[in-house]
Amino acid sequence: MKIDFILRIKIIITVLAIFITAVFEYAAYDLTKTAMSNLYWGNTGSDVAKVQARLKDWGYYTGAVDGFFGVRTWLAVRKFQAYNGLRVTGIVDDDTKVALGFTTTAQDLAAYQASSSVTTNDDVYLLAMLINGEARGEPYIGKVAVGAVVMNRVRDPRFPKTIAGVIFQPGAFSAVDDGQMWLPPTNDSIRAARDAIAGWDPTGGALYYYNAARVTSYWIFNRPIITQIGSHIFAR
Amino acid sequence: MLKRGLTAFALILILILGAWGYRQYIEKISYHRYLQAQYDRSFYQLVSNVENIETSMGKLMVASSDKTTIPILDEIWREAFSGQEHLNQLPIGQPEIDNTSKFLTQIGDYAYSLTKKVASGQKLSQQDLATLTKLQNYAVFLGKNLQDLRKKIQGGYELGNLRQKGTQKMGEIDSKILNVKMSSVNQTMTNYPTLIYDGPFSESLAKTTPKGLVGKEVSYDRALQIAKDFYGKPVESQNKYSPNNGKIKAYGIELKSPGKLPVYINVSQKGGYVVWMMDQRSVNKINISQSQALQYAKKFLEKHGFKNVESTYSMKADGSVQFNFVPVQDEVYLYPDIVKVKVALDNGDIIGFDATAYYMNHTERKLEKPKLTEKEAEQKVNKNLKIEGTKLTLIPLEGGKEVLAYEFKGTYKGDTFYVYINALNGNEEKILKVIKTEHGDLTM
Repeated sequence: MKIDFILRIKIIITVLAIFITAVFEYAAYDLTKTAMSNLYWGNTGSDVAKVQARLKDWGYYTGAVDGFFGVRTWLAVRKFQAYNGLRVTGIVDDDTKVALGFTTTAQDLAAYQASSSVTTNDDVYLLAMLINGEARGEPYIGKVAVGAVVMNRVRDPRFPKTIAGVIFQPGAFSAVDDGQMWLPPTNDSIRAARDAIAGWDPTGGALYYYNAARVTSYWIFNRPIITQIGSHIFAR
Repeated sequence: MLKRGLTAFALILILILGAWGYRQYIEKISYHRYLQAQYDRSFYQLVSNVENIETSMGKLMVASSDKTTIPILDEIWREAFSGQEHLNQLPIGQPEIDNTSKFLTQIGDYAYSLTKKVASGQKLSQQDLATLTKLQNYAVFLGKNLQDLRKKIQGGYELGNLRQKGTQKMGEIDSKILNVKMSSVNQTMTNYPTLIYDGPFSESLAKTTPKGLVGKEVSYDRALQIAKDFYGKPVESQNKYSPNNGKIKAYGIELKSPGKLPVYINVSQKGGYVVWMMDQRSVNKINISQSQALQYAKKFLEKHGFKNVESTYSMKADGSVQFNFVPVQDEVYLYPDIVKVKVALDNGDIIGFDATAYYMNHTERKLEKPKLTEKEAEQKVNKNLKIEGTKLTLIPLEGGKEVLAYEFKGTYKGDTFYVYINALNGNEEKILKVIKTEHGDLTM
């Protein structure tokens, strides 16, 4: 009875240890994956599925459209290349992509250059993430106020000159430090970010804010208070 | 038998845990070093930026022609902004770098304004040079102290090193510059010049007071009545949320209609004007068009005393549309006096109102007569631009100045631009490019 108990504990611990190691190894492995432009044996993903579907439509491929570049896909690609006067490599390179009716990497890039890339959407989303991390529980006006503080800092000589610069200044926002910023922002946060960027400022020019219940740096009390919105006190 | 198994198992467990722990440790060190390299890079860049500012300022003292002056001023501008950026990336608290950061921004901004001055054909005055000499002294002081700090943290592996020693030393530097108070004229340290120039970060801008508020101080009760009249809907309860002590001193009033989210209204203490209103509700359905919304907004403004206003810009997003209005006086569009109105596209309610800029800038202006005719001004516009429309405007410049200018709207290669030509001396004052977004057109 007792032996049984010890054995069970041992097994549980072993399984746990192996599991934890595997999880960490997998997490590390996952980060090293990157996107690939040319497709070849062993690739997986939606691009492979697109190629398979096209080859199947045209009668070169008979297998399943499963997004896995296996031996049947490889044979189909070689067959396609041979029939179309391409170099028979079994790799979906730029020439093969064009023959299949897809765009090449270079063409994709050219499409970007044709139109101006200036946009404010990145800034809106970045600000929305910060607002979401910092003021999720606040009323809507409190969310706009947090966004307005960032915008006021951008215009102040003492702070960085861009939205990203202000948000990622070391130690500036606790939501950046504790990672809460990376939660997907709610619609309200995105709306608030758009309002703040469009110039709505409920604070009347505040540069700082703090939650009176959770102050970590007492220096903040020296700043002249402008207003309180929700649980945040806004100061200059 | 069992004992041996147990020992073997314990050994394996220790090995696995040890390997895992070691791996974590190695990873930690490598992240640590990586992060420190980033901070070090910022710090060393900052030191070299400050040194380059010093050097360039020295060169400026002996430069005689515009051809050399402008590139040197540009270099100061570039180095100063780069330095400020690197300073702000250091893991040092904002209070310790506040003034150093401001110093770098203003030195760059000042150099930029001097560039524009020289480019418009003027020479640097004796006063400019005197200001520059004094600024150079501060740059030298800053450079020396940064080098000191560099020696202290050199070779230190610990990340905490830069953080702790850095905070302490930067605090010292900062407090010295703080004691000098580069911001105000009245400080005892008379040697630091207050930088009065035309730039977005100039001191003169931070000191502006509202021009458009006239009348006596009003009480909270009076302000509450004004807010209720402005809102114009039945109010179930009200709340004084907090006085707003921004550039315009105001009462914060929270009004709640039955079954709705509270609406926030700021009423100025002086004169009792509604400066700002925000309805928090979100709009889910779209029932009216943008042109209908514009009619609602215009009617709303007329009702509240904003006569002769024209919409110059609109942005549609999230079921509402924001219009920017400017007053028109003698056919001149007054861009500084902007009023923003936000209309809900479900029932045409006004859900946002912002007249902060209007009350900051609006006064009875005596507008000058343009010295150039429209034809003459058009000659000054780049020939590449296909002009589509013209109007006379008053535009705000960096640093709070206002100038009378012809606005030319035109296109080049499918992009729309606004070009502003000074109506008094023919200078090209500003060029804006229209950026099309899914929500409306932005000007940049």
